[in-house]
Amino acid sequence: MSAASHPAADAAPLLRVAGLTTELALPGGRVRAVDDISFAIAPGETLGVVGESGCGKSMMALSLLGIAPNPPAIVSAGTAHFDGVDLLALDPAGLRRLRGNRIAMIFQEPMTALNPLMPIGAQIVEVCRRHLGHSRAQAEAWAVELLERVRIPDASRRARDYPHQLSGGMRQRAMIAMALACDPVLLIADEPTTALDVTIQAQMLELISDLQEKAGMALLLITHDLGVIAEMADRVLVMYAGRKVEEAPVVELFNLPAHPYTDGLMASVPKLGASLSGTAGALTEIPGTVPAPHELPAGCAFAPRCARADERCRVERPILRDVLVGHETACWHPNQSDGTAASARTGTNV
Amino acid sequence: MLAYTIRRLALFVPMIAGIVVVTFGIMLLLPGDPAIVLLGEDSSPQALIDIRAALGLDRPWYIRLMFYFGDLAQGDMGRSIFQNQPVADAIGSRIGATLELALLALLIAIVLGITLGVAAALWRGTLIDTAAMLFAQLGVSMPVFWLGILLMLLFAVQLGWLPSIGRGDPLLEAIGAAATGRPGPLFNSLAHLAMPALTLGLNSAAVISRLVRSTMLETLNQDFIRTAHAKGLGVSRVILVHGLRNALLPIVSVIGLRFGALLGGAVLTENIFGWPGLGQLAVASISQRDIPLVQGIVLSFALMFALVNLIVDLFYTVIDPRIRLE
Repeated sequence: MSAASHPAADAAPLLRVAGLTTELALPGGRVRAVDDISFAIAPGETLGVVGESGCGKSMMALSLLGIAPNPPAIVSAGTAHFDGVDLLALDPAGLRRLRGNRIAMIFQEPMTALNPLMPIGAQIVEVCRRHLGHSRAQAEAWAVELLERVRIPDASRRARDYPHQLSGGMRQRAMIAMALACDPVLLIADEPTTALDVTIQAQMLELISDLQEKAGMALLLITHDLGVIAEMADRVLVMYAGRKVEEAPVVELFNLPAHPYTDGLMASVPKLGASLSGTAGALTEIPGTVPAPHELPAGCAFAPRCARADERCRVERPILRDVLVGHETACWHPNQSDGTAASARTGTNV
Repeated sequence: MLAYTIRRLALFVPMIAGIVVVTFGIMLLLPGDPAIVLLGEDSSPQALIDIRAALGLDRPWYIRLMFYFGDLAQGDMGRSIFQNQPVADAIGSRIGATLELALLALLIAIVLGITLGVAAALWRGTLIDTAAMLFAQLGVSMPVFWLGILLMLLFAVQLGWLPSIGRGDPLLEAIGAAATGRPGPLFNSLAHLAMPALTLGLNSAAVISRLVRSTMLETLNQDFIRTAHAKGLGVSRVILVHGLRNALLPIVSVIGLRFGALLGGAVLTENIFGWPGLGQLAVASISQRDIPLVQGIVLSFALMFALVNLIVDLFYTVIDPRIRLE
C-alpha cells in the first residue's frame, strides 16, 4: 500500500547484505540454512521477507545480529554493511553495542520472549542503562514514556507488572517499547503478529508503522503472512529453502509475480468473501513440501514441486536475473513481465 | 501469605501425631527390651518386672501411647530411660551441634553445586563439563562413611591439618567472639567443622550440580535469553540475571528436600567424626531401646525438615512472581 510513497528507494542503503550464508553443523554434516542472500534496505524503508516456516527467514535475521544459536549455526560467508561497518566481521563486543541500540529486534512469541521473573519496566530499563548510560531514575522515567508511546494504558503502574500479568497484545507492545528504547534506525520484526489474536494483529501493525513513520526507522519485516506484507512492505524478498527466489516492489510482486513459488504462495491465500461473490475456485496448494536442507536438488530448490520444471531446472541452479528494473528472480522460466504465465493472478491485486 | 503460613503450621499437628505413631510402632516391633539393656542379661526376673513397672513398660502399648500424647500436648517429651534427664534437655543440649553441621553442609552443597552446575552448562561438552560431571558422579555414588574416612586419612592422618574428631567451639559463639576481635575460637570451630561438613555436603552438592546443569542448559535455550542477547546486554548479565535466576527456580525446592537427606546423613557423619549432635544420640538411644528419647529425636528431625520446607515454599513467592500461595 505504501509502496508508491516509500521515502528513499534511491538513497544510500542503511543495510547492504551480500552473499549471506549460514550453515548448520548437524550430525549428518553441514547444511545451508541461509544460502547466498543479498539485499539492501534504505533508511525508513520496509523490506518484507516472506516464505514458508523453516525457509531460513529467522535464521537470516539472527545471523545478521550475531545471535544465531551457535552451535549449530555458523555464518560462513557474506558481508552486511551497516553504517560503515560489516556486521558479520564485527567482534562480539561491537555487535553488543549495536544490538538493542541502533538495530533492535522483536520476536514472535512475546510470552516466552520476555523474562518471566522481571517486571516489564525493568526489562526496558536495562536496555536504557546499557546503551544510553541512563541513571536508574532516568531509565525508569524513559521506560514509562516508551510504554505510553506503544499505547499501554496506565503505563507507570503497568511498568511494574510481570509478563504473565499482561495480555498477549500488551506483552508484544511492551516488547516493541523495549526495542524502541534507544531509537533504533533499523527494526527487525520476526513474525511480530503471528502469535496474536487476529483483532490484535491489525492494531499491532498499525502501531509499528506509526512508530516507524515517526522515528523514520527502517523495518525488516519477517512473516509468512502475505496479508501483512501487502499491508506493510515497500519491497518484498521471497525466500525458499534458504535462497532468495524473488525480490520486487510490493505492488509489482502482487501484480506480476515472476517466480512460480511466489505464484503458488499467492494462490494458496484465501480471499475474503470470494466464495460469497462466486469468484473463487478451490484454494490451490503447492504440491509436495520444502525439501530438507540436506536433500536439496542440485539445480533449483523448487524444481521438485514446480509444474514448469525441466531438465535444466533440475541440474543447474538458476541465477538471479532482472525481469524488470528493481524486480529480480531466480528462475529459468519466470513469468513474463506482460504477465503471460501469471495471467491467472491478475485478479489478486493488493 | 500469613494465612497460608498459619495453615501450614497447623498441619504440623497431624504430622507430629503420625510420626509419633509410626516411630512408636517401629520401636515396638524391634526386638530387645530396655529393662534387660538397663539391668544386664543375667538379672533376676523379679528385678526386671520391677523396673518395667517403674518405667511404665508393663502397661499395654496403646495406654503408653495415649499417655505419651497427653504429655506431648503439654510440651513434655518425657524422660530418657538411660540419660537420666528430660528428653527435651538431652535434645536441647545437642541440637545446636547438628544444626550447625547440617546448615554448613547445606551451604557447601549450594555454593559448590550451583558453581559446578553453571560452569558445566556454560562450557558444555568441554573438559570443564566432563570434570564437573565426573565429580558429581563420584559425589552421588560415594557413601558418607567411606568419604569421611578417606578425608580423615588425608587431612588428619597424612597431612595433619585438621583435627579428626570432636567439635570445637560452638560456631555461633565463635562468630560472636570473632566480631569482638578474637578470631581464635572461629578458626578452632571451623577447623573442626570442615571435614564433617564437607563429608555431609558433598553428596548434595553433586545432586544439585547435576540438576543446575540441566536446568541451566534448558534456560539458556529459552526465547527470553535470545531477547536478552538481542538487547545487547553483556554476557555475564545475560547468564546471571536472565539465565541463572530462572534456572534456580526448580533448584530451590530440591534444596529444601536435600535438607532432609542432610539430616539423615548427619546421623552417619556425626558417628564417624565423633560429633556430639543429635545423630550420635539417635544411634545410641536406638541401640539402648530408649523409646522416649528416640521419639523425641525423630520428632525434632521431622520438625526441622518441615520448617525448612515451609521456609522454602514461602521463599518461592519472593523469587517467582507467578506463584501465589493459597
